Amino acid sequence: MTYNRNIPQPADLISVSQGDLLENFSELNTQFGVNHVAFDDPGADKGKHKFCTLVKQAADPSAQSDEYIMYSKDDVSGDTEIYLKPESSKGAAFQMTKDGNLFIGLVPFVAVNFSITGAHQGASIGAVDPLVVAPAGRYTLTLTAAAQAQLVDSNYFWHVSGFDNSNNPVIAQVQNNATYGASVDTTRIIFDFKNQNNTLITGLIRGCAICWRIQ
Amino acid sequence: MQSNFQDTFDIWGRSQEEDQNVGDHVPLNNPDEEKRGKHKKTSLIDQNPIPTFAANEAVLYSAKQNSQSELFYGRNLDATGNQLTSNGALSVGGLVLRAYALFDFQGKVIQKEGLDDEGNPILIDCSFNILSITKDSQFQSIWNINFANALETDNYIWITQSFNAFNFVGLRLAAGNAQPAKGAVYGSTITNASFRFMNAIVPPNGLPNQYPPQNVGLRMLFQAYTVAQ
Repeated sequence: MTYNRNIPQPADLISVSQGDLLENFSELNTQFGVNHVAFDDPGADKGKHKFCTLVKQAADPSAQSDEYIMYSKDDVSGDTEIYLKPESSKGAAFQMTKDGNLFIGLVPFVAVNFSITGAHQGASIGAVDPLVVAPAGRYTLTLTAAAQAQLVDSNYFWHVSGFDNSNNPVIAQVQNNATYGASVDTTRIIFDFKNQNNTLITGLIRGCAICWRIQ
Repeated sequence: MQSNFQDTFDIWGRSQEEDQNVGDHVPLNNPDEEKRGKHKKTSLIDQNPIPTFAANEAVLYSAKQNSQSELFYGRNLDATGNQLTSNGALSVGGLVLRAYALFDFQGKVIQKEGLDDEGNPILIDCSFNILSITKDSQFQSIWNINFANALETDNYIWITQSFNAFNFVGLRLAAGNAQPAKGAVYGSTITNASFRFMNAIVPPNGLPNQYPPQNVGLRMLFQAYTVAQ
């Protein structure tokens, strides 16, 4: 069946129009029901969306004033992703999603809050539980296989912080070493927590770390 | 037949003036013809099972995650959907920014210049989910950052940074170090409702460190993240 926008015609017999009209109503219900709760649904949700399928567009649509458009098109990698277009006077279209994430330019692949023993506290992302502590104050964070799979090289962003109950500063940093790769690589990263005497802190209570990669 | 037309009209969408919550679409008889066929909003009913993701399409949908509706998307024949929201906020790579602030040593949130809808200059706070930032009553360069809405957990991930301009006698080589303020236990400094932020001085030559001798820190930066549920 296909929706026929040209029925009924003035000369059509009612017996013909009845079938045409029934077909159109049926087709409207079917097509509307692809992304929406259908017209003939007995529940209270009819008219709302079940989901929103965005068929790939070849080019950016144009938005009028007082509108914000969401659509999909292929990104530079050839993946069909979601894009947004602000109202006409507010700038160009931009990419909203990329490879399964919101697209902000950076995406975290490690996030963890850990105790003095290296044990994860609460939920974590991308880090083997626990971090290895050796010697006290030096924590080796091993990336999970899933986190490693996201990396093409060791040129990623890191941040680490620490908390202890002494009266000293907690200087958190990537372990100083002869080469970058000795402290930061695609399988693990090593953090030191030191005080003002350049001495590893043995009483660290909590640490936390985040690593980001370019999207 | 009239009943069918009326049902179609009602379910498609009523005008905002009549009831904006009825239907997701601009009414079929909208006076502005260019608006017809467009959406007013998109109410996504939780899906179970989740939709399939065909090539050349991206699908936005909602589904239950930890007993609450969250937004997901899928594309390119993905085997499963990708979570975009978690407990009232956007999730990027499974990480959710729950609070941030850029503030000065008085605890005043820095403001940036912006424009309102009519193009008039306004000042915008460089903070999110911050109720207040108060200087500690006893110690210099310690601030209590109070969240407007409590975080889901006190096991969150914090970022602390500062910009300092030292020129104190005897401390010319000192460095500034932003960190959680010291406390007997974790929970006295880091809770789901607040965070005690300290900007310490790291003296040269391993001299004993105490709290800074005077206000230190021209700008302090704080962020708090949780892992998506």
